[in-house]
Amino acid sequence: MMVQEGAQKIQALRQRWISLQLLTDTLKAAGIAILVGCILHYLLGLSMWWALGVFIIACIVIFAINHPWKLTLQSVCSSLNLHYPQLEESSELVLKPVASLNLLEQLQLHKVEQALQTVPAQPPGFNARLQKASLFLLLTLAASLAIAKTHQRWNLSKPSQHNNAVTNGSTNAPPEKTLPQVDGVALTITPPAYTGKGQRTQDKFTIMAEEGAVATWKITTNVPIGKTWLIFNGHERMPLTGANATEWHASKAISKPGFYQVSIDGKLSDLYQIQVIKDALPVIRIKTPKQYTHIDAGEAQRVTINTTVTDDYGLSDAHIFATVAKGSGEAVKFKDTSFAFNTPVTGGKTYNLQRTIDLPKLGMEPGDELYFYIQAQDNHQQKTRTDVLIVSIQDTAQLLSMDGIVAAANIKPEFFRSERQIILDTEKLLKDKDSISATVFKNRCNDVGADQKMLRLRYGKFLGEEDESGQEADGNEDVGKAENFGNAKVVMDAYTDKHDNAEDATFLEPAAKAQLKATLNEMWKAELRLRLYKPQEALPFEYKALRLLKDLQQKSRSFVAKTSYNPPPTKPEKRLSGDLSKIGQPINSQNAKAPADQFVSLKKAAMVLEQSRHQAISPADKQVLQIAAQQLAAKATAQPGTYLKAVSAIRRILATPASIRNADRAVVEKAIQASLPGSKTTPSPMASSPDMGLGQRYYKNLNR
Amino acid sequence: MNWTLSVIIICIILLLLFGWQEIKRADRRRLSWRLLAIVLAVAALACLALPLSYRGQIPVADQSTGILLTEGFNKDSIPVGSPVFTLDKAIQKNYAKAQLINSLQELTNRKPALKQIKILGYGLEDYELKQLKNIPVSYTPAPAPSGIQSISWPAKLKTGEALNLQGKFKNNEGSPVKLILKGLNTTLDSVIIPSGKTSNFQLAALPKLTGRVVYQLLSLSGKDTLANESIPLEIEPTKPIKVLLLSASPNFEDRFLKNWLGENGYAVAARASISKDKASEEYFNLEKLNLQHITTTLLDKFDVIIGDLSALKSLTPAEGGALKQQVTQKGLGVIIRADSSGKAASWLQSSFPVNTVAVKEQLSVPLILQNSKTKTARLNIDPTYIGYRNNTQSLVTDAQNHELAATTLAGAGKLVFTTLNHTYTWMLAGNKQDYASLWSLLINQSARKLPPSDNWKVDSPFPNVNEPVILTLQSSVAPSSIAINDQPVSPAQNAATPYEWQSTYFPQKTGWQQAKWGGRGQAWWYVNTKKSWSSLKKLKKAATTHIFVANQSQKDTVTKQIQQKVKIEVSKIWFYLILLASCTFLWVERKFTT
Repeated sequence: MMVQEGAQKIQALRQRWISLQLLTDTLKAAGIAILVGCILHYLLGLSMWWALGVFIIACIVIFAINHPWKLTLQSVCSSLNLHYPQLEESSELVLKPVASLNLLEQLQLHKVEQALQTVPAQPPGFNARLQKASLFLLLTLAASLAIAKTHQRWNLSKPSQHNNAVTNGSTNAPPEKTLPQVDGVALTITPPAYTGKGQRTQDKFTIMAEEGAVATWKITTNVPIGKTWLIFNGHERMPLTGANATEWHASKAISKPGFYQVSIDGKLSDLYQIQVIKDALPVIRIKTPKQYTHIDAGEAQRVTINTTVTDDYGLSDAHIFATVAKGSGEAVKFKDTSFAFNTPVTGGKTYNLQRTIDLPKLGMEPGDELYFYIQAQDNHQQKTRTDVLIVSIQDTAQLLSMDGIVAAANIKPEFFRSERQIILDTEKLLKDKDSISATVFKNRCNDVGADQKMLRLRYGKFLGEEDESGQEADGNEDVGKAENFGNAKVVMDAYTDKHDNAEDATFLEPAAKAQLKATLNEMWKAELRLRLYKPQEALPFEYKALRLLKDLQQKSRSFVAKTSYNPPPTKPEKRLSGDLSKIGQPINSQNAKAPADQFVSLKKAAMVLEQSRHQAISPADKQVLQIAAQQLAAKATAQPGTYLKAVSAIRRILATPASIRNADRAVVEKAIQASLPGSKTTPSPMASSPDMGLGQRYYKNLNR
Repeated sequence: MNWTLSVIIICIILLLLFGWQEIKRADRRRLSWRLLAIVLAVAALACLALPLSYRGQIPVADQSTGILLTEGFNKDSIPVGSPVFTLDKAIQKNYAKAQLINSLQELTNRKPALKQIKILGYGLEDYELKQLKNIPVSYTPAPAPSGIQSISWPAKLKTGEALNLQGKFKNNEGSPVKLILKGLNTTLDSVIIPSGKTSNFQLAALPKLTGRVVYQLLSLSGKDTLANESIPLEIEPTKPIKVLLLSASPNFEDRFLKNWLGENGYAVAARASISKDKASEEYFNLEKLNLQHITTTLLDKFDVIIGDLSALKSLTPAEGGALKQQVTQKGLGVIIRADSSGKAASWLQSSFPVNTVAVKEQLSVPLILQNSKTKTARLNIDPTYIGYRNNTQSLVTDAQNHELAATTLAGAGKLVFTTLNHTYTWMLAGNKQDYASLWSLLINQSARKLPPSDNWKVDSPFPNVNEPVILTLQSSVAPSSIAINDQPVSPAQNAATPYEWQSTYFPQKTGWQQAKWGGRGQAWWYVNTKKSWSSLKKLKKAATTHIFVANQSQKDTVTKQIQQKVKIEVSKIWFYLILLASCTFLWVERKFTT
C-alpha cells in the first residue's frame, strides 16, 4: 500500500508540475500576445482580434520549446532528490516494483515514503519562475497601455491640421453658441430624392445640405418658453410650432445658401450658417473618335464611340444625337437620328459607354458627313452635351473631278493628272479582274506600278532627291571625247556644282516640302502594293496621295494677316472741289454721370472702425456701421462662409459700441476688404503749391 | 617695523627648519626642486603676512563732468567717478549708480556747478536739448538700433493710385524678419529681410478705400511681433478735368478715349476734320461750344488738349499762337500723338526727335510705365521711337528701353509726346486696367495744375501724445485763425517764406486730429502712440543730439584726464596661489615617490 501511495504521490506531483509549467507558459504567451496585438492595432490599424491569433501562435511556440508534457517520473524524482535532502537521493525506489527490491532498498523505501509525504506540491524554484512570468505579463501590459496613450495623444494633435483642411464638415466646426434656454437641437436633413441619400440628424445648428433638401428642427428647451422664431437672412421670419412649451418644431426646404438665427422670446442667438451643396452637371469624356474623323476610301466605314460619363449622384440617361448631311451645295439634306449606347444607363455614378455606328446603315455615301454629340442627364434632370463631332467619308468622285485644278495656281498639272490616271487605271483593273487571265492581270498591275514609280520620281525631283534612272554617267560623256580634251568649259561644266542656276533653285516652302515628302511616301506604298499584285490594297494609298497633292495646291494661295489700322489724316486739298456749304456738320452730344459708388457706406464704416481705436463711437458713426451691417448681411446671404462671421462681429460691435473687441474689429475689417472691388484708375491733375505766385514771377523774369 | 622684522625672522627659521628636513631625507631625488619649493612657500607666507605696496598713477574722478544716461547707453563707456544722471526711471533701475532727475534744469542749476555734460545713448529730443544751451555738451552715440532705419510714403493719394512704401530695415535679430503691409487686417504685400543684413525694401498695394485710412506695417521675427506701426494716409477722390481732343481724321483711338473719359465723369469735347472745312464735333458731359476756331477763351475752358500732330500742325497761325500762349503762360497741357504728318517743324515737336526703325512685322510688346513695377499687357506698336533729349522725361518705354512717350516742360505747362496709336486695342480686348493706367499717367503728367490751395504739413515726423508737434500751414492768404480739434492755436508767420504759418501743438490723444483754419479749409493729421516707430525715434534723437553738439557755441575744453600718484597695495591672492602651488608640489612629490 505504502509503495503505491509513494508512486501515486510522484504521479500527482508530475501532473501538478506539468499544469503549473503550462500556466507560466500561458502567462508568457498572453504577455506577448497583448504587446504584439497592441502594436498591430494602434500602429497598423488592424483589429484587436489579431491578438487572439498571436496568443495561440505564441502558446504553440512556447509549448514546442518547453515540452511541459514530456516531464517523466524519473526526472521528477531526480529533481526531488536534488532539492529535498530528506529523500536521501533514493526517491526512484518508489517507482520500482517492490518485488525487485532487496532488503536494504526496502528499508530505504519506507524511509523515503515517509519523507515524500512532507514534500510540498509545488516544484522547487517554481515560485521564481511564476514571478518572472507574471512580471513579464505586467510589463507588457504597461507597455501596451503606453502605446495606447501615446497613440491617443498623437491622434489628438493631428486633427488640428485635419480640421483646417476640411472646414466644410459640420462635425469639425467649432462649438456653436446657443441661447441659454436651448437644451438641445435635433436637426434632421432630408436630402432630395435625386441624391439617393438617406436622411441624417445632427445636434448642431450649422447646416450643410444638398440643394433642395428639407431641414426639420426639433428644439428642446430647458424652461417653458413663449414665442420662438427662426429668422433667415436677417429678415425672413418662420415661427416654430410647439408640441408643448419646451419642444418646438419647424421645417424648411433649403434651396439657397445664407444664415439664420433662433429667436426665443425676442432674444436672438448667434448666426448659423446654411451651406448648399449644388448638384454638379454630368461630365462626359470622349475617348474616341476625334473631333474630326476622315474615313478614306478603302477604310471601314464605321465609327466606334467610346466615352466615360460621370455624375456626383447618379445618371439617368445618355444618348447619341446624330445628324447625317447628304449631298453638297444647295442640295444638302439633313436627317436626325439618335442612338442609345450598348449598356443601359440606370442611376449609377460612372459609366463606360460604347457604341459602334455603321455609316452605310445610316444611308451614308462617300462625301456625306455625320455630325453627332452625346447628351447625358443626371437624376436631377440636369443635362450636359458635348461638342459636335464630325465624321466624313471621302468623296472619291469629288477628288477625281477636274474642278479647281484648272482654276487654281497650277504648278505641275500633268503630274496631278497622272495620279488621277493611276487611280482610274487601278479601278479599271479591279473591275476587269474577273474577265482577264492572271498573267494579263499581273502584267497590267505591274504596268500601273511602273507608272506610279515614274510619277514618284518626277515629284522626287522637286525635293532634290536622287535620280533613280540609273544613267549616272549621262552628263560626263562629253568630257571623255577626244575633241574636248583641254576644253576648260566642258570640264568645268561636268565637274562643278552649278548652284547659281535659277532653274535648280527650289521654290517650295519647308511646309510644302514636308507635305510633298508625305505624298511621295504614299505613292511609294501604293507602288509596293501594285508590284505585289494587290491593287485593292494600293487604292487607299493612291487616294491619299491624291488628296495630299490637292491640299498642296490650296496652299499656294496667299494670306493677308489682320493688323491694326489708323486712317491717314484727311487732306482737304485732295478732296473734290464741290460746294459743301450746304452740308451740315455732324454734332453728337451725350452726357453720362460717373457711376455712383455702391460701397461708400462700407468705406465709411472702415474709417469709423479705425477711428474707434482712438475714440468712442458717436451716434452718427453708429448709423454708418448699421448700414454697413445691412450690406454685409446681404453679402452673407450669398456667401455665408466668407461673411457670416463678420455679420456676427459687427452686430456685437453695434450692441456694445463702448467696448469693441479687437478680434471683432479685425473680422469686420477683413470682410470689408474682401467685399470692396479694386478702385479704378482715373486721371487727375496735380496740385500746385500755394507760393503766392512766386513761381510765376520767377518764370516771367526769366523770359524777360 | 617690529612686525616686519619678527615675520622675517620667523620665516628664516622656518626656511632653515624645512630645508634641513628635506636635506636629511634619505631619498635625494629632486632635492633642488624641493628646496626651491620650500623657499617659494616660505617667501609667499612672508608676503602674506607683510603689507606690500607700490606707487602708481590712477585717473582722478572728474567731479565737474556730469554723465547723462539715455536709452541704449553702454555701461563700459561710463567714466569712473563722475556723477551719473538719468531722466529715465528704467535706466535708474538698471544702473543703480545713476541719479534720477526730473528735469534737465537740475543739471544746469546743480551746485557745485557742472563744467560739462556728456550724453551717452540715443540722446535727447530737440526741445530737451534746448535746455542745455548754456553748458558744453559732448555725445557718445549708441550703435544704430535694429528695426526700420528710414521710411517714406505719400501722405495723400488719389483714388486708383498705388501706395508705394519704401524704406530701409536693419535686422540685428538672429532670424529673418518679415515685413508685412496690412490694410483692413488683410495682408497686402510682404518682404523678408535676411538675418544680420541692412537692406532697402519696397511694399506696394492698391488701396480700395477712400478717405482717411490707416495701414499697418508689421515686422515679424518668426511668430514674434517686433513692431506694429501705423501708416496713416488720406485717399482723395479724383477731380474730373476737361479734355479737348483734336484729330485730323475720325479714328478709333479718339473714340475710345472720349468714351472712357466721359463714362468716368470727365468733360470731353472732340473735333475731327472729315472734309474740307468740315469737322465732326462730339461732346461728352459738356455743353456745345464753338470748336471751329481755337481761341484763348476756348482753351481756357480745358485742362488738357490731346491731338494728333497733323491736327495740331494744321492750326492757323492765330490758333497756334493762342495754344502756345495758353500752354506757356497758363499751364495748359498738350498730349501730342505722333503721326505721319508733313515735314513742317513745330514747337510742339522740337523736343522729341522721332526715329523709325525698319521692321517687317507688326510689333507687339509689353510696355513699362513710369513708376510702375509691373509690365502691361502686349500692345501693337509702330516701330517709331522717341530719341532721348535733355530736359525730357521718359514716361513709357518698351523692354528694350525704347521711349514711346515722353514729357517736357513748356513754360508753365507741359507737353507729352507719344507714338502709341493703337491703345484702343486694349479696350477691345477688355483690358481696362492697362488702358486706364497708361492714359492716367499721360493725362496726369500734362493736365493743367489745380489752382493753389492751402496745404497742411506736419513738420515733426511721427508726432506723439504729449510731445510738441510743429505744424505748418501753407496758404497764400493769411488764415484768420487755426484750430486743432476745435482748440485755437496761435500761428507765427515764417519770416523767410511769407506764405507759411507755423504753430506748436501738444496732442492729447492718438489717432486722427482735425485742423481747421479761417473757415476755409480743414485737414487731418495723425498722432501715433508713444511706443510706435521706436527705432526711427532713436535714430532721430541721435541725429538731433549730434547736430546740437556740433553746432553748440561752447565746446568742451578738457582734453586730458587728470592723474594722481597713489600708493597701491599688491593683491594677496598671488601669494596665496604661490604658497598653494609649492605646498601641493611638496605633498604630491612625497606621496607618489614612496
